[in-house]
Amino acid sequence: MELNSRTLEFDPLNQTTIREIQVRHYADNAELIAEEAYPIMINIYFKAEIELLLQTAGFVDIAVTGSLEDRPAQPWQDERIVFTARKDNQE
Amino acid sequence: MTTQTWHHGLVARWWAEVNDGGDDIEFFASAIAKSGPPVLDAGCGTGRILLAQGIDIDGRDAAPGMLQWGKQLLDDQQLSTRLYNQAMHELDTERTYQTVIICGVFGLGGSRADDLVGMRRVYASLKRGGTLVMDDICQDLANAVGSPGLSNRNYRGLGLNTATGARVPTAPSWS
Repeated sequence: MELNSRTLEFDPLNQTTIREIQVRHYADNAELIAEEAYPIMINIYFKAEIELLLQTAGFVDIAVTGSLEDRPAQPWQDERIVFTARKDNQE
Repeated sequence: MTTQTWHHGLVARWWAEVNDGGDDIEFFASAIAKSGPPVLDAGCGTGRILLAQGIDIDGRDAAPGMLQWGKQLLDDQQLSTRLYNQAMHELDTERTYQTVIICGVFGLGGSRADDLVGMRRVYASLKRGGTLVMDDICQDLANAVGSPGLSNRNYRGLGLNTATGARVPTAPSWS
């Protein structure tokens, strides 16, 4: 089986993108026997927006690290960032 | 708003049969070890991270097709992990958790209002002092604005001509 994805649309005003995912299923002789594709809308957030979202939800001690490593996130370098946040002990 | 998922049929099967590893499993295992059980994987899919833990962990996901595969994989390993069909903004847990992990699903398929409700529900599902560990894939943002640090395939996905910066009117290619 083979999975592919592509971006169909990007709306910079509403910060949404429509991605499409496709899976092709091949027989042992490499003949394509099935193919399915589905779109999905994704809300795009900047780092500061997610921090604000977490604060608004009540989280404290919000930290951001880059690329599954214990270091600050780097612009243009990290394809994935990680937010760690805590529920207050007094809540 | 009903949560849209793209994890049906062959896509769910691909996730169950092909996408069974990843360096994020070790990362989230380490985060769980640091914060402790009980754990909720909110957006667990086919249970890729659940399967690797072997601790007190529940899984919830908006996509029934993924959960169906997850149940089968968990049964195969004789794990009794509880799975629930719930989107994050519908999260309604009968117990609270010391750790909640969210891997690769934040912002998918719902509205921005849903995302805020989801975060509030995750907060409510945590014990006092409990920890949320959540990733965010910057790739989509980088695709959208055209990252100079990422490969050309990211430009192609948006339909941009990488030489001129102009939009390409044809359908973007798969990558």
